[in-house]
Amino acid sequence: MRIVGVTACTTGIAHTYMAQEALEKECARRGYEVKIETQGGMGIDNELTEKEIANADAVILAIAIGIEGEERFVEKQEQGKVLTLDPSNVIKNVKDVVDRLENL
Amino acid sequence: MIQKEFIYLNNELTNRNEIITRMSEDVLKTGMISDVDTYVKSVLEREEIIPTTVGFNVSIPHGKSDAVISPFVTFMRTNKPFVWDERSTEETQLIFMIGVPTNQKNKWHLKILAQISKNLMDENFRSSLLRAESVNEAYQLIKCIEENIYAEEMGNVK
Repeated sequence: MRIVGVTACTTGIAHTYMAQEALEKECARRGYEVKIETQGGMGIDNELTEKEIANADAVILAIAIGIEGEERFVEKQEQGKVLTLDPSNVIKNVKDVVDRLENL
Repeated sequence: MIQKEFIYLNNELTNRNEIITRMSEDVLKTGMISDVDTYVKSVLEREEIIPTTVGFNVSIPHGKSDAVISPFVTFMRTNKPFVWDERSTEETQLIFMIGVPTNQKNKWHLKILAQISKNLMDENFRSSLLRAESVNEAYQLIKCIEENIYAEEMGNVK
């Protein structure tokens, strides 16, 4: 299973990075490949490539604000492979979130 | 960024706004904020959008404000878990309060705050904070995050 995603919160200080950490940890625990791009106070880090997005089985957008490059996910959206949630929900319920990604 | 004066263990307070104000008053004494009311207002405005409880009895109230002169983080462990925000039943016992200037240019500071936030997802880090017996012990747990980032940055510029 390959999962990619973007995290972004309103102030870009804490939730963005906590949600990234939660997703990376849970995916690692399940032995999944994961790459999470962060759009926070430090700008864009760990940026996803087109290829990485194309190859992903599921996409998680843990975002509380509009993000840069949202159009990159249009195709995956059409395939019903994108889950969009508030970052705080991802932090609190990461196991459920990854379960849902598995079942997309 | 983190100072021993910003660490509160076994505090009796059980009210979100009192806790935020109490810590902000001590931050003011160090000159890292210019005025308590403006900073507290930015923190409470953020809380209004959605409470900063993140599960595991942790809350991370934070404000981006012109009243912040230098980025900081404070830490409080209360005597017992309490309901952080009446809109939910979620309880809090570990509180990390963060302040960042509106125009924060120094990525290094943001990196430290991001790393502290990431560490909060680590059960061992949280249980160490819950068990810490002295201010010094809690201070070292948080301070070493800052030092690791600093060491990393120094490595990068070589």
